[in-house]
Amino acid sequence: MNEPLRIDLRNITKRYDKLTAVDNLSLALGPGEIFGFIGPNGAGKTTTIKILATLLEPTTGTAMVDGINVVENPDAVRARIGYMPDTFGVYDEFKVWEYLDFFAAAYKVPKGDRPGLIDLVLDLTNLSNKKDAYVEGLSRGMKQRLCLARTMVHNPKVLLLDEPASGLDPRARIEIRDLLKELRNLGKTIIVSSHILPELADFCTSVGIIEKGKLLVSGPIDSLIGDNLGARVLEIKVPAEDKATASKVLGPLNGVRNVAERGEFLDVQFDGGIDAQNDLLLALINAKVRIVSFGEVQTDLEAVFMNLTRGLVA
Amino acid sequence: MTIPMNPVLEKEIRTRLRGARAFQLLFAYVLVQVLIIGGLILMSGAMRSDVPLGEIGQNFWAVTFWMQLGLVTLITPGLTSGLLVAEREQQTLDTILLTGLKPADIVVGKLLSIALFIIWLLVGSLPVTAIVFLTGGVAPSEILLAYVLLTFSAMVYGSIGIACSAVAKSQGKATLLAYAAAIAFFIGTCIPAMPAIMHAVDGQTAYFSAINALGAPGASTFKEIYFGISFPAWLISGIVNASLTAIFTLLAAHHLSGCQPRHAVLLRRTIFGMLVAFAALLGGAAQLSIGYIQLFVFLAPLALVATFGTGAAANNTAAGSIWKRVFSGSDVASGRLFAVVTYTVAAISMFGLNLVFRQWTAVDDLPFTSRALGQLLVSGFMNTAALTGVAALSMRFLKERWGALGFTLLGWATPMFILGICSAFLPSSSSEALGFIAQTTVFDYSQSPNTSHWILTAVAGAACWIVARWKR
Repeated sequence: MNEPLRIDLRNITKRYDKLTAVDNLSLALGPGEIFGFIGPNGAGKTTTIKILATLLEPTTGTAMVDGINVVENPDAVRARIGYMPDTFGVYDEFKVWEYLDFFAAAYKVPKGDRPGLIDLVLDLTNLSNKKDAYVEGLSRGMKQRLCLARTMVHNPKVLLLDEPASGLDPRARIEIRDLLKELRNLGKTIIVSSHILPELADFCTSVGIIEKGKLLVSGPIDSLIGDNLGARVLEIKVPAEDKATASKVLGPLNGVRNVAERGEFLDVQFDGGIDAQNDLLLALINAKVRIVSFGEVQTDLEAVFMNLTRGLVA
Repeated sequence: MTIPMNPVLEKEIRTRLRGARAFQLLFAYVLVQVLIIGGLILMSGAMRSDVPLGEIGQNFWAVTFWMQLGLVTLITPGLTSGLLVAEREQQTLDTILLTGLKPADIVVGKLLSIALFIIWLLVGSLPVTAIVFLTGGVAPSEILLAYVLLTFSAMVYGSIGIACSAVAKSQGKATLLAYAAAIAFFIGTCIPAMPAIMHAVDGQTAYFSAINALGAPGASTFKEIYFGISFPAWLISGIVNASLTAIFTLLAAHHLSGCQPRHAVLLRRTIFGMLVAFAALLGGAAQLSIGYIQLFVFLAPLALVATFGTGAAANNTAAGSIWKRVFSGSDVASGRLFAVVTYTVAAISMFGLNLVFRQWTAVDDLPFTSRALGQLLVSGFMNTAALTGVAALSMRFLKERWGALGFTLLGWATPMFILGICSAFLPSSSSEALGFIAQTTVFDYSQSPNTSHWILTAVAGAACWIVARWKR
């Protein structure tokens, strides 16, 4: 193996007096992966991220960032991560470039390299025109982006972003999302947490759902949906007078789990492959059912999430 | 060659001098001095022709300098006590700590910025001080030395403030704690400064007389003799103050990094090591008895700091468990403990002060000592009762340990202590009145014990206690 895993959590458990914040959590991420950490508030997302950020020590288990143990060598880990906390402050009395310059200096970026680097991260976060503005005068979304810019001044391999889009208006959310897509293209490994699903769905390479400290499920989004819902839903529109015939035909077919009427549609829960789906369509046509439309309903993370966390969320 | 700049220092200076605030403070600082000094000149008629000009200059210098000292003492803890706790409250502390900056870098950067700021204020007010050169009577070297000692004092107050800032959980508590500690340090160090303030004789031998910058103008020619070797007083005071600054700075960095147990042990040993070194040094002092008492009075609190202030590791010591109880306690018990600790420290310093007075006034009879001890015991007991009452009372109403401690220290112990000191200096009739209020009859070695003082104290304490215990 030529490059170590960027993030490697093995059986991480973090216990406070009585509360188990993180329970036996394992996770492995390589370069260029964006991992979406989803779960309700208090599920253990922040604790896990803080362990990776060297701010908390795990009770048991090992956490490695870029092949370096978080507990044994926190300084080396800190140089490789950019951490954006869920709640953060900025120094109001600073100008934007001074703020970034301060952190670059703190990360020991040579003085000569800083101006170029600052311009770069400002450009990336779309804040170039605010370079000389006071931090105090920035909008919340801009502060959030500034904070994100700050996490990148030392060019870290791993970004740990705890709720980067919380409390933002839709436009600012989209800006953050576009920014994360750009960062993914730069080959950074990113962990981003959220309690809102759709926020993550379209740019994460994989997601994990955490609940009461346990990672219930994790993996690429497509496989998650396939595995956990099991069945796709076929949406077939037929005239009202053909519905009874259609239901009768569909019922015994291979791969059909359930047929339900929804207005003008028939929703068919279906777990067969492409051939079985073709057979299903043929069977309907042979039975002279007039099909107005035939398609597959896009199942989304929201459904997976609701399915998995049902009854668990306090 | 470029000097690697501490980013925190750069940031602090940049933001502190931004806008008009800093210059407004400088203006106010100079204005206060000009007004007070101008007022003094007009009111006292200091420019009388029958007083030698040099003498006017000396008085003038002393007043100017003490005022500077007063202002610096008041400003510095306020400036530093907010520094770290503000980062914590604004949730910016974690982000700085993650940059790989060491807690020590952060503390030192912040403290240096304050030191530079104070120096800036002092330099800015030099023109006011320079009036002294018109009258003469004070050597420029004397002024320079006093200013250096003042800067050292400011560093001690600043480091105390920053240590409080690292320990406390909120700005308010940090400020309160910093001022309480700074006042305690100021009053405690008044004792060795007395010879320098009251009747300085050039070249005299006195110990630690310039630790408090109050003694700095008088002590510029003082000597301290250890093991037969004579050291200039300013050097010893400078070293002591620098060591104290180092201790409190380390303590702040230690708390900032979450009180690592191994550091706690190391820090505790370092402080105790320094105390032992001081003890050894004082063992060679020419006036042995005074040396040891002063050691006890001024450095005993440091032993407390070493035992209690070093955090996590302290929990496994007996003293540590008591402290833990105080910290977790929420009712009268912790108020009582605080009161006992406060009064013990106060009583020890009073006793030390007394012995210094004794030496100074050459009252050296056994009846005095026995009376003083007896009075100290009784008065101490009564005052403990009163302090306990006040502590319990403030605990009940403030519902908050630090607030109660601060109120007890600032609202009761400090005024009582100051009144007690005043009573020793004033003519006997007013002295009696003040001593009566302050219940510090132990100062008043010329008078016989006054039982009514004690009864009043006890009654006041009991009243506070009863109110504190009153069921809602």
